[in-house]
Amino acid sequence: MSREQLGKLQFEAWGLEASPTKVAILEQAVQLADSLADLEEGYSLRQELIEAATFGGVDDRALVAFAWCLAQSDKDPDRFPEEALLWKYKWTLAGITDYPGIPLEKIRAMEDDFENRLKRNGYGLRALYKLRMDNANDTGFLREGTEYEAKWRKARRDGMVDCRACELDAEVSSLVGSGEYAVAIKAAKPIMSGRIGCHTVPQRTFADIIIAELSLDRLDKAREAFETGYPQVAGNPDFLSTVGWHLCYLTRALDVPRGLRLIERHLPWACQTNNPSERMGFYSRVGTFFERLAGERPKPRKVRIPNTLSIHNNEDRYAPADLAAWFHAEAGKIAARFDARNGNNFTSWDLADTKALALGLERPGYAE
Amino acid sequence: MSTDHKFQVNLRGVIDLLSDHLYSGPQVYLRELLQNGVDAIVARRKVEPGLEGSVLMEVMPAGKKSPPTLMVQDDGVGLTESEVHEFLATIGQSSKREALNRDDFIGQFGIGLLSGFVVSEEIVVVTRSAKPDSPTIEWRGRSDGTYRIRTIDVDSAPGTQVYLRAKEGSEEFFTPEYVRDTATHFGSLLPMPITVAAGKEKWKINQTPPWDDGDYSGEMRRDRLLEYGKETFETDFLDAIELRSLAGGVQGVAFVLPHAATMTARHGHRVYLKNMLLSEAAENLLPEWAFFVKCVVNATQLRPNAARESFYEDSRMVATREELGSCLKAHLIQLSKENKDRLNLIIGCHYLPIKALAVEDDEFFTLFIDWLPFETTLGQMTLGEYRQREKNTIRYVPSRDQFRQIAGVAAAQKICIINAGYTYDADLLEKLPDAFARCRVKKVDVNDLARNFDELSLEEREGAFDFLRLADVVLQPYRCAADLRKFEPVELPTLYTANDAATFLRSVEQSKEVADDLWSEILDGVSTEPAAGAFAQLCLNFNNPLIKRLAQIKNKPLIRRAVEMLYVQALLLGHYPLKAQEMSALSDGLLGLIELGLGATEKNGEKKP
Repeated sequence: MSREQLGKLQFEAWGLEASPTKVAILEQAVQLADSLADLEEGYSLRQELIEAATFGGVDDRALVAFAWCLAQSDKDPDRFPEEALLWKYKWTLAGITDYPGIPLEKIRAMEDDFENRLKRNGYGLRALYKLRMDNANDTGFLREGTEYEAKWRKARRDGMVDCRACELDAEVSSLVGSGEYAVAIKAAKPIMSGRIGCHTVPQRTFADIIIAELSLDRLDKAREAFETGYPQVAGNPDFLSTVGWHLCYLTRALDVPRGLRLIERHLPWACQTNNPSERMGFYSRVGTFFERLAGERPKPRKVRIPNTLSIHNNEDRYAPADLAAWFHAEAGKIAARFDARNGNNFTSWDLADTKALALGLERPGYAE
Repeated sequence: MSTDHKFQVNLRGVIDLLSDHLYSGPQVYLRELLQNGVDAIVARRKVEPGLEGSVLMEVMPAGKKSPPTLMVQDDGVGLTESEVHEFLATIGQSSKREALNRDDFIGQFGIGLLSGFVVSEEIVVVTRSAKPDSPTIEWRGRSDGTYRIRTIDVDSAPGTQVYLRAKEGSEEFFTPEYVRDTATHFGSLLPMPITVAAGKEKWKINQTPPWDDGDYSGEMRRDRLLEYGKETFETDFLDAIELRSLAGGVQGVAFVLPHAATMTARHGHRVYLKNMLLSEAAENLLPEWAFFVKCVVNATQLRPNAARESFYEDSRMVATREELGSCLKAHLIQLSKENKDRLNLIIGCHYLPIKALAVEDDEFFTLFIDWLPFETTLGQMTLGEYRQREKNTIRYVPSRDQFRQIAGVAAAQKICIINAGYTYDADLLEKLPDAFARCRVKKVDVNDLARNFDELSLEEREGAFDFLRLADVVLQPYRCAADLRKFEPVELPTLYTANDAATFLRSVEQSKEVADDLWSEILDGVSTEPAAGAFAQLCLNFNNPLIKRLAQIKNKPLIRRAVEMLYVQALLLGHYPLKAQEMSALSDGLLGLIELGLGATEKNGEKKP
């Protein structure tokens, strides 16, 4: 009976795109396989689960399954080869800074662990340098990030590095990060023209384009990026942060109807995610939207706010200023945890910087 | 007068590049030559609007010493000598894929011509420009990169003839049947007459696209379209929907698949660009939700992407997609008014994409939501039926795992709860209050379900108080609370419920049991947030005779053991893999119970001599 159920669940999961629903089905299948004490099946289902969770916006699920698989591989490498896990290790490391509960030294230890595993499987370090660069940049150690960026660029490509579309996307992000907006837009051309792409590019790249165009005060170009880019990410919670950048454009453009619609559609994702960084980012952008609204059209209005949030009221009517204050405060609390973990004020600065960009104000500087 | 020239480029390299990247196989040489002919006619029409134009493709079979030859002739604009040089120069710049310029006529002509070298060693072009006083030019090019141009002294009509001689091994691409079928495949919808000839045989390959077939209307038109769909895709479709977009200059038909489609299965559409077949597997034509149809369309205002397998993604494409999506939507809405049976047939098969559309589109949501099916603890029903039954109070659990936990018990209490663990269902339900002000929607936490069960009477409570308190203490190390209620079915001693956070936490602990120190700490770092909301509960059934008796005994070690065993049994019944701690509770418990039983037997034995 349970075998049969297991097969059914697998078949159903197979027909779905990566999404929380797919992950939930695979979790049930994993549970069944484990209760049948079928180690092989439990392992292979978890492989599917990791992929569905990574690209379906529930990366904590991926991490838990990955930790289990890695332990099985360490225990019995002949049965569960380590090399087959390295690519997923990359995914895990790529989002690890998003959890303020994980101290910096543990992140470093994970990177070192990954380095050892890469080396003993005969891979170069290009993949690692990119992860170290991203993790350093995400935690506010920008000088360190620049050092790793140089190493990343120099290291040779091998079977463990990101695809060309992802690498170019990273380059565009790096240019945007260093304020070279026009160069970044030019560099992104092969992606934007559709010549190269992959599973997550160009979808993610639109975020950088919006940042660059807003920074250059080219609202019409930013609108183009919104109109083409937003429909491509609106269906998948994995792109919540990209959706947040589209909201920044709408805030700057004071496109109230679309902004409210976007918030009502995606706020539930932000409430449901266990990823504090994603939630913080989206809350902060929502806060900024209502801040702009409070300045321009301060009258209370109907907004659908998930009832799990403490600010929710049954009339669904809110003063924009109240919403702005609440969301900024919630985002601020999470940012404080990141700052404490990182030992700097990078995350708070990052939120302030994004807010200034969305409101068209002067951007604050960051000193390491 | 003739001159010998050498291509300024590595022709071989360009050909390889074209065949690797732009062409899916040798058959495209026919498409390219046909396209060249069509383009030439279109170009000439700009100067001579009345011109109809035509293309002739004539196959000359192999002779004793000569291989088969194909001649493609058009009465289009033709080329002057300097234009011939120009197209060669354009090819010269084509060392990079992105530099291939297909936008202007001359560049396109050159690239199209080059594709001939995939099947031929030598290509001859005889062309006379429609510009006044243009001589007839002959161009003879070889795949080794040399070519020769000369003026020939014949008084031919404007237009172009291209001769291809099959190279060794390519003869199969030069049979009359192959040429006819391939030309039909690519060019059957072209508006100007296209004829394939071989010896005395002649075939006119043109067909009228079904959407241009003005003779039919209403159901007859629909039948005609469905017939076309069957011919094209060998499928009996459920319905045919006409498509139109101003932005992309699109006309076509969407066919409703006769079987449920999954989101991941890509149903490639058959797309024509200016009446020439572009691709049979175009993907980006429709909005994501529209995965229940397969289309045939012709576009006049869209651009092909570099690989020529789909349309180029730009703002015009975005607008086109939106318009085509509206056509599908409008059709469904029309069916809801005029043909409910047909709509129900479609919904029965394709509720998933229709739900996807309802999530995105408020207007559509309001019209359709009541007809869409949902799984409930009392079986499948439409939302309309559910709303009527439950008087607009909608209760749902957000995941299938939670539904599995409670379905049986809820059904026994006649509690109707929706399983919103399917794609789109939770999103749809949460939208209800916006569309219908009277609707109340409640997300039920599985642990709340027990609160709907009957309470114990005051007296019963009194009697069972110590039992419940002890059970709670026993289950605490397992992060599980105990409750005591009366519920159906009486045979069921317990109901174990765990919300999603609690189930997640179980999987975290499971991973921690095998992980090393580093990973254990990382897992802790990740699970701190959900841990706060994690809640599991074992609800003991006071209607169950065993539980009732258990609640009355005073033997604490026995109660302790029994509660642990009930807990483990509930986990096993729910197919939860046991944690190490639970595993040892199970083995200790079993042994203990055996011992207890043995003790009782021995005692009894002592009494009876």
